[in-house]
Amino acid sequence: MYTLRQYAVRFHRRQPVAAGPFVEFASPKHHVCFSTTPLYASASNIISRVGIVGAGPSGFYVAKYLLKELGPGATVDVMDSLPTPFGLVRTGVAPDHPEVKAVQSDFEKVAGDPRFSFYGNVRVGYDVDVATLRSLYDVLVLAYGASEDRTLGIPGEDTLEGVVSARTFVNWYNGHPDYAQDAKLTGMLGEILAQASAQVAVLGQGNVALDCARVLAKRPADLETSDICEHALVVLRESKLAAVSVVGRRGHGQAAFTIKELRELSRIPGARLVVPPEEVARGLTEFTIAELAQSRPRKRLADLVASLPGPAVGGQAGEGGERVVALRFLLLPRAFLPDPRRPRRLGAVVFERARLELDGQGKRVVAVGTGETEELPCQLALRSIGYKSQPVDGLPFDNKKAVVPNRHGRVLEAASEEAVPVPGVYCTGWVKRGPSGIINTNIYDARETVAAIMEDAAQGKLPFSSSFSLLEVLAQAGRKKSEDVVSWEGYEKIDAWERRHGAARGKPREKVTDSHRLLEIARS
Amino acid sequence: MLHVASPFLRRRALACFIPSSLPPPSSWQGDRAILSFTGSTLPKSMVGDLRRRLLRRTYHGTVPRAKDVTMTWHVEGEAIAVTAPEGKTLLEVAHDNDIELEGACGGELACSTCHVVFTPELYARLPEKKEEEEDMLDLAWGLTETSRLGCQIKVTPLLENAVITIPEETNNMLGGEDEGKGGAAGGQGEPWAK
Repeated sequence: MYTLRQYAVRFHRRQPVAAGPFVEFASPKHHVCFSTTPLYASASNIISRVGIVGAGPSGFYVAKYLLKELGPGATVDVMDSLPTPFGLVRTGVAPDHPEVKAVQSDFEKVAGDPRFSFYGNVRVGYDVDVATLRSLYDVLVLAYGASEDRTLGIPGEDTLEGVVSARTFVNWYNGHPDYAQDAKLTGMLGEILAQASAQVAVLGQGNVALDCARVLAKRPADLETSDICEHALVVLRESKLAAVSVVGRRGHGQAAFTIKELRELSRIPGARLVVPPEEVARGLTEFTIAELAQSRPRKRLADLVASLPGPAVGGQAGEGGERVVALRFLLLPRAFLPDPRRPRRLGAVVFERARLELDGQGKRVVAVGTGETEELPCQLALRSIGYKSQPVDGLPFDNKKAVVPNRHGRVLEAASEEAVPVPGVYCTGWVKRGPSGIINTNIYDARETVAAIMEDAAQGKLPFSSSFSLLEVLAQAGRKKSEDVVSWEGYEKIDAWERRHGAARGKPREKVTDSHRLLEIARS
Repeated sequence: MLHVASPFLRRRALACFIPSSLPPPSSWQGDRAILSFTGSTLPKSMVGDLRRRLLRRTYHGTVPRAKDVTMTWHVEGEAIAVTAPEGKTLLEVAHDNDIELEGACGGELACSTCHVVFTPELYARLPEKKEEEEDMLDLAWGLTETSRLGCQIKVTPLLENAVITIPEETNNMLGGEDEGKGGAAGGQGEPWAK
């Protein structure tokens, strides 16, 4: 049931006030609204305006499942700080994994729904604040992901050139406008990789780390038909990389990468994947073996690692121009050392050898230092130990977990057990549960959040919203001209431009990396 | 299609256009085979069917006709009876019948969202898993001993009266630090270097 006030406004807005097979639209012309069913309101008719902050997979899956529940008069506005949608599917997934990007076609179908609108190049917290958004929408969903990195906090991390976050490197080769246009970054990477027998250390062992290693180790010719950006290809063609080490703190039984990506890494033409057998042996502690026996997927992965060959005797560089990709285990990074000949550049990473132990509760396997150190010479270190979400002004943030405090998707007023939900504000994706999981994890996540939204709607817990449009608000605040906001049609023009120019080079697309150019194409 | 009255004449008409040296349907690439007489593409299953009908007349042999297979899908507590033509993948069958089965990668073995569960007896008789399918299944939520990916199982008479279950999502899939061999490096909240 609606409150009298809600009823009055819906009447004025010409929105349905009754649900069921016979729906009568009230209009100011009629003084009375009538229908042949009792005047109950189903949850789907209460929600008329939804705003989603973030157009990545989490935002799109929430949009998809919400649109299934909502009535024909509802609108779903999805906004993103970039002019292009799809988040990490565009800027994170590796260029040689086009099959993973296929999920975009699912998202494009969602965008084809007439109730869906895209607002690209809108930065929440800068162009528009959260308080305004809350007043515009019945339901506001935060799906803005994690745009910062976790740091190691060890000496040399912030001062030496050559210590780069993996996210930066991935954004760079994938054409994220904030990184791909950074001439200093391109220059530095180009210079480092062009050195004879360059060596790279990737710290962390998730799929992002394997992506970095694979892109560095692959022959540039094998990347030329992917949608990797041209400026990255130029650097990779000049690269004289000899070895990449992918280093983890714990053993191979705890590695976070998945078997498909590892298999792929072992089958790269022109590169050889090796693992030191003694690090594999030291990783097979009793509790690790017991853990592996309980999980078939982990056992398969550990067996694959154990089956890889050992490094060549007498050094890291491969014979015959072959690049070596080494998986290293049980090494805790302790410091970055400068190159003695060029003190501002990275020269080596110091590791402390580790052994595996069970933590206090006996549940988790942790790596404990043994006191022995090992120096790994390298000129580029990619830090791939996880992402971190940023807080947004106007909303609570759990600094310990680096997520927005929530319960099943309902944003809470504070990061505590007793906190009550903030009415009408929800979250999904990494900003809700932390930066873990794969693209598909968002499916279940989104369903949980949508279930919470629909439950709250049915119980009348949603706040009231105004009827201004987002574009009006942006223009009034003077922060963003309407022509600088990218609509879905604008994105389709960008998409068509990129595909056309990619086809000329035998690539699926040639990404536009300049944000001004992106806006120009969207407006054309 | 040709609108010729008698089936006999229709077959003769078709026979003029389909070359006798067509390769078997399984070796055609992509979803559609182009036949010149229509000037447009025909679905592979229709071409195969045409070819079978022609051969049937010509060779007087018993060529199996594509038949429909009945099966039951268990989704979110509901049991849905479905009739599906041979040759379609289970993912296609689900979509054709409005059964909610995600196929995020479109059947390219790049995700595990079309995960379905069979009964042990039927599972044992299904064709072997490819290594790639097994690798992706490892990431599936609610993985069981009798799980397969729906995009890899084609409808055959073997699936007559099959019971196919789409696993329920459970909350413990989302939480947990070491859950499901997820993709991104690391988790959150714990110190990296001790």
